[in-house]
Amino acid sequence: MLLPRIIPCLDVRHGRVVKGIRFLDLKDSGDPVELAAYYASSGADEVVWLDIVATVEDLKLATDLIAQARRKVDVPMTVGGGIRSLDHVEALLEAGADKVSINTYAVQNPAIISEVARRWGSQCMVVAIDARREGDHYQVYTHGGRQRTDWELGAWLKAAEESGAGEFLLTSMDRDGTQAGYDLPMLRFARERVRRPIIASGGAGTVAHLAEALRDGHDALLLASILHQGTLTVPGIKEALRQEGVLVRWPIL
Amino acid sequence: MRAVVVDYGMGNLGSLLALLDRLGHEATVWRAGPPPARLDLLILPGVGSMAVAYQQLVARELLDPLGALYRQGVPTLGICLGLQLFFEASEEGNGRGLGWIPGRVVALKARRTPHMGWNTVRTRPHPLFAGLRPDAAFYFVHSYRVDPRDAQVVLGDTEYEGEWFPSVVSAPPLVGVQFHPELSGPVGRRWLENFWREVG
Repeated sequence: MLLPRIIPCLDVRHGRVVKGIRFLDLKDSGDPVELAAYYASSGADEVVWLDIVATVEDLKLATDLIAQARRKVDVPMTVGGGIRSLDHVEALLEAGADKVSINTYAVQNPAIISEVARRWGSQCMVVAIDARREGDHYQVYTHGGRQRTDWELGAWLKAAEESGAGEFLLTSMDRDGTQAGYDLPMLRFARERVRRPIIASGGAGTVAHLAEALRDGHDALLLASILHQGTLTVPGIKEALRQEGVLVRWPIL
Repeated sequence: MRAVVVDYGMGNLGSLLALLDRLGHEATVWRAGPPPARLDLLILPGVGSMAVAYQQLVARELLDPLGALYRQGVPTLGICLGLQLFFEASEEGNGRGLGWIPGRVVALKARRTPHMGWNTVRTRPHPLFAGLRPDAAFYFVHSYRVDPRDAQVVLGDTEYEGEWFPSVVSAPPLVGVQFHPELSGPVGRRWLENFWREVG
């Protein structure tokens, strides 16, 4: 039986974790390599590493860190942020990323989806989407949610799937940062439209929110601020889910 | 034991080489042409399409040396696409395989593909699974599955959306797994240790 995926997200800028974990007993919780390794060893089912790379120096730093993380992280790693070329994708995969996540540039130049899928397989092409409710539908935004696109969510999901997206990382802008629970109606809407796995993002605040999403059939859940505050840990979450009767990968051996 | 990992351009080897390194195993990467001189164990990893993989094996002049090593009985571990390549043909893009195990590679029936994530393996007690709990989970990512003609080669199977498919295949000197031990945390590490002990 396929088990749910609990996926911590690291936000990295210039080689440092933007929001480190408070109260965590790490030598340096701002070190993304150490934090990624900590997540993997403490039960994360995958790790997502988002690093807005703007310059050549940034890219060099990012690939060095990902290569270091690869030596320690024994679960899948998805890397994204600012990807605008096949060369960039190649550098990340060669450094040891298993999948790449592309958001804004996939909307600007959808051909990158099919190019990545053709060259490395669709399983490593994650299309990240930020969307919010507008009246009777969901609208796609780019540039970290600052720019509205002409895409309605269902149409963009379909187009990206047809181009070769192997997975989606779908963030609800309405729920992101609220810790009020995942956007289940939006996730349900998305799942009905495409046949690819969808990682749910935005809104997780409690274990109950995770259990609620899992019971609704959304089996891959991204966690960001809920972990950064240090109030919840991956082992704590998995233990609590198990006690609620949700099967998870726990213990990890 | 000297392990050789075949790099035929299908997926990155970083996680596999990192795991071998953590286990203290010497590994060489073989990219094209004749095989490295010292070779006790072969690992054929890879993700993606079988048709493209076969073309790559041809282009890199790996096909004949691989066949020779197989006939010599060199223990070989196929991971994911590597397992699928052991078989004769794939319905995906009319891909050919190495033809070492009778059978085909067919699409998963699931509505949602790829089968991506952590899943369990149903197996009878076997040294390859020594020290692992029955509900130990491995990481999978694939849209196609093997369909062996002889069910005897299947050592373990896995369920996804109601369909059972072979996830561990053994046909000496070949062992193939549909999951990725190198991405399966401590469970994958222990499985690979078991494999090493079995062939060593």
